[in-house]
Amino acid sequence: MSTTPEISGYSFGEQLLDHPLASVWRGTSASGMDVVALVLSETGAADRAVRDRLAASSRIAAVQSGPAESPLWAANPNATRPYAVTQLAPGYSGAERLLDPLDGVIGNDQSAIEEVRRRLDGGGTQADSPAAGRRLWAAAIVIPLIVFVVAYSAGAAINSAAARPEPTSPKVPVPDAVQPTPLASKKVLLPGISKAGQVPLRSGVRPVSLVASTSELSPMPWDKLGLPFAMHIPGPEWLMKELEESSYSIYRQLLEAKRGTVVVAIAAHPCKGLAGCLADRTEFDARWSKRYGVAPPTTARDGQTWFSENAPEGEPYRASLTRAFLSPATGSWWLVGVAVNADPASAGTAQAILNDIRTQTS
Amino acid sequence: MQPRKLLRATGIAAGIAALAGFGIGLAAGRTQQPEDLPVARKLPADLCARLGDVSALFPGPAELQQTGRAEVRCTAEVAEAGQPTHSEARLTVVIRTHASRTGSTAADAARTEFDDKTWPVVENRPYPTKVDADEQGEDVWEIKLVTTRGDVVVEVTYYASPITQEAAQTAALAVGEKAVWEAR
Repeated sequence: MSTTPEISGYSFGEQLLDHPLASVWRGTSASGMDVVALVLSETGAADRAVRDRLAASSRIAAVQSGPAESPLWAANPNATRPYAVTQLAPGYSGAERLLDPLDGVIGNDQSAIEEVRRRLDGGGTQADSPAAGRRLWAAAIVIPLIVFVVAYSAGAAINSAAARPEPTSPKVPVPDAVQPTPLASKKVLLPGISKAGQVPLRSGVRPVSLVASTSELSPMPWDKLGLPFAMHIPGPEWLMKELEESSYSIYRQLLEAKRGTVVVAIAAHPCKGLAGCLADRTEFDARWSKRYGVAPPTTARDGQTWFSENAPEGEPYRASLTRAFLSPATGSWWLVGVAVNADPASAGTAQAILNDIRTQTS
Repeated sequence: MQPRKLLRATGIAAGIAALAGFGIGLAAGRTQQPEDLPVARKLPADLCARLGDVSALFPGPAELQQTGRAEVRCTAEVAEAGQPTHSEARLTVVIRTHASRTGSTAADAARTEFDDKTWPVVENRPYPTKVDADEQGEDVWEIKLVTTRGDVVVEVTYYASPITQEAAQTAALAVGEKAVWEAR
């Protein structure tokens, strides 16, 4: 057995082959990489031809390594004991392949080289292959994760078992189920007011003036107010708001929408004949004036008309009207309540609206 | 890295992972058991029909339509457009069951939902009940009601015109308590 070679940067621990001209060693580099080294024996080193052959084959191994040959990593043909070093990679031939050409006869050392390969493959680890290396790295990552999960689960199970509260009873006692009262069998809604439908403007009636007004309304009809009478639309900026219909009255609000200069509140209550209307008037006035927050009219104009107005200089114009009339459209009697609130500059328009309603309820 | 060194590093990492995992699990881990999962009781598919004939609450014929099982919604509406008079009504009944949670019962969960409502409590009812009555005009009322028993919470919204507050509230209470009975 040859003495362990001493090559700077490498350490060798296992001799794989002891040939008369050279020995093959397995070792590691300073970085921890497995290597194979071929080192000439004293006999080989003394033979100039052998040294030259090693130098020649080393150059070839350095620049023309084959597909299954590890490239040369280090070589020194001029050392006391010339050597060549390659990486040890399973499935790849290393520095041992440089043995065969040393004696000048190619092929006579094949069995020795195969013995080296066998020992390298058997003694080396398959993990050195790239695929095995990837598997080893994957295992190195996965195993700690699995261990963590298992340990976490164990800890969580112990914690949950210790912390799990006992089943509790409701904080508030659950009352016994009680057989419910039957749902109502009679209608719970109050009787609704019959719909007036579309009501045309009354044509050919004599205009009636409650108050003097120089303003004129548009000729366009407002005939779908849901009220028992129609009226003229005061202007293009006017809107109608359908308020509610109670069991007693229909409520509508008309307003000048652009600047809010005029607001007209209207209520209509069906009654049974003129006598019924007269009997209902006090309650009707109380209801609709409360609904709109206005004062009901106090002055009788005739047997069916009550009117009040309040127009202090420079202050908003306010007026209210209650009128009992027979609606030709519905064929029934109605009480109509109207309250207007207008800027002083728009008082004329408010007065024209009042006159129009009075006329349409003739 | 050499396999031997990698194996050693893996072993050290696994040891640290075991200690860390066990410690974190012990400190903050919770395991879920089937009883921990919030599964609310399913309600009958014909629950709305079981509430009975609600036509009296409407100006015309009406029938409750049901959607949902875990949260049943019964709705009916008679719009004014189809009526000869100025009358309309809408009714919505929502029946919801709650699931028990860790540390509390289903009844507690239902009670919490009930308690979240800030409406006035109605006394002398068979179940805890709250009602919100909103006057939306003369003889126009929208009644909102919530009542609970056990894991069940019932919400009723009844809008009708024209109607008195008393009639609307009485009708909503009857519907709500009927729903509790049928969902018991």
